[in-house]
Amino acid sequence: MSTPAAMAISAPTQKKTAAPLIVAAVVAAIGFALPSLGVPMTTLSLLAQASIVGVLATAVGFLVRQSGFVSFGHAAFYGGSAYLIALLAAHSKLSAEIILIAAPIIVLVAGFALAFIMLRTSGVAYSMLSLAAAQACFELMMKWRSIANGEDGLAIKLPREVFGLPLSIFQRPDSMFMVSWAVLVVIVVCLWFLSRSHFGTLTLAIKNNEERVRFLGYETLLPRAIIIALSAFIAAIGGVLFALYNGFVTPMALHWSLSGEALVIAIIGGTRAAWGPALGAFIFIFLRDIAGNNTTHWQGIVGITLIVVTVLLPNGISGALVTLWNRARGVSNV
Amino acid sequence: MSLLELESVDAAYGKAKVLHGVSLKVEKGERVAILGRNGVGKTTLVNTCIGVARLNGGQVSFGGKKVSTIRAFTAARSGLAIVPQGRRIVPGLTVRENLILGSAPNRSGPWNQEAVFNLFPILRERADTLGTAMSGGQQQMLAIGRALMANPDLLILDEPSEGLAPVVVDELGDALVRLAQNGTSILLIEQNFGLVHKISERYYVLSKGSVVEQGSMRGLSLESLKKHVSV
Repeated sequence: MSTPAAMAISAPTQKKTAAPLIVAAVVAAIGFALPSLGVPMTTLSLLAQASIVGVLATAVGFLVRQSGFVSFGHAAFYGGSAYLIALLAAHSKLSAEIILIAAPIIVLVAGFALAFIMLRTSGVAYSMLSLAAAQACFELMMKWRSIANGEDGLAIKLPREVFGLPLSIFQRPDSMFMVSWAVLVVIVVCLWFLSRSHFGTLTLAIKNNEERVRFLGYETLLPRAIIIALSAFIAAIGGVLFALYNGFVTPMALHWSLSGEALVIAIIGGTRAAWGPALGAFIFIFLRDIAGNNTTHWQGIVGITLIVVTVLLPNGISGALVTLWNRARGVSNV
Repeated sequence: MSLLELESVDAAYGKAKVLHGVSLKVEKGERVAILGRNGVGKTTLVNTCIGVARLNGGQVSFGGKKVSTIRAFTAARSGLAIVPQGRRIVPGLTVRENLILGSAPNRSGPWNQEAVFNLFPILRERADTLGTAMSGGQQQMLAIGRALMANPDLLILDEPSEGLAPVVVDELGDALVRLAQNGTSILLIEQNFGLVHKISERYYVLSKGSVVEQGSMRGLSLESLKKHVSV
């Protein structure tokens, strides 16, 4: 039995599981209900975009949270997945379903192989290497006109039905929002469980002090490589959604500016919570839309938002919400 | 064959030589202390044992294997566990998660989560508390518990009393005595003579990177203590 003193001290800092899951279920249900609540199509279009970009930002945030690496090249996995779908659909006899499943798996394997090169670096060098690798993919698609049609991009030729559903389901904002929202929710929930698993705690420990973890008896290279590969895989799933929704891909889907955007979204949303970058995506997309409707200098408003969040909310908006949530429950933040 | 053996070890950080011809032994089931003031090379000695500090000369062997040939993550798997100076509790992880992290080597033995909780009951009460949210003494217990989860043949404790209140040091000492009675070999690097006296059977005194005195605890004189160690 716990002593009163122990209870008094331990209760405020204990990890709770039930409440976050309930809140997640409610938020997920609200998302699924939106299309049937008469939300305008333009708003649903923004929600669909935000869900897709949210998957990419979640991949970037996951990498930051579990490994400490800041990637400036995740667009390579996102756009690479979309390009793989376009190229395989155009040049292979594989079914659309196999292509859509194979693309992120190929990216996962490529990300795993790339990780062993990337892990020879750390900090700024890692960020620069990720940027260089992504820009190499961008240049390749720009210059290789015979295959990728250069800056004009490629149309993604998919059949009228995919996974037994009409292709139009994936190209209408209301239904695509439901699909991409479902994917985003599943990814965030999986990452939340992963962060609480032994593998999650191990990678967090490696991030904090790799040498110490080695002396606890762990080989640390493989877990770090798995985190990079998983992050690449999630970004590639975002690329699949992008390909299905747009039916078209250009080299801009590989450009560093998209990687930067995903990083900004992750910072605004906050990377300490699995759902932070997803929240950041919705805030970013709607902020950009509102600012874009009122001024041509919307980038300035996004920049100011980033500065305000970075200075005032170092753990992002999700971090601030978690702090408020804990305060409301009388729980201290450690 | 000794469990841990250092033979004429010279060690350095870059060009700065820290250890000069250090020789010592820890036998199976033995509790040995390394005494010495700040800056005499005690932590370097620990780092040499685990292959972190560069060996300029001599040899370190653990269980008959040269330490220089052991990779960092295999040291724990071969039975060498360290409780580092400063404890190094992983932020963001609970007490239980920190303990589970320590069970990586998958070695069989008496130590598991339940056994650690029996040794340090406060950890059971705080099992779901963040490790870094506990007091210094409790964090030290967690660091020791985490090391024990590996079922080590030798437990190296680097200044476990550092920054702890005397009453907490006493509590920690009692737990280490119980641990020693279980037959766990201990190499204790410490300045607190009370703790050393409570736990150890033999001692080595380190001064300016060399062993200047050694023997059984009974033979350690007050004069020697005043000369080489803070009392």
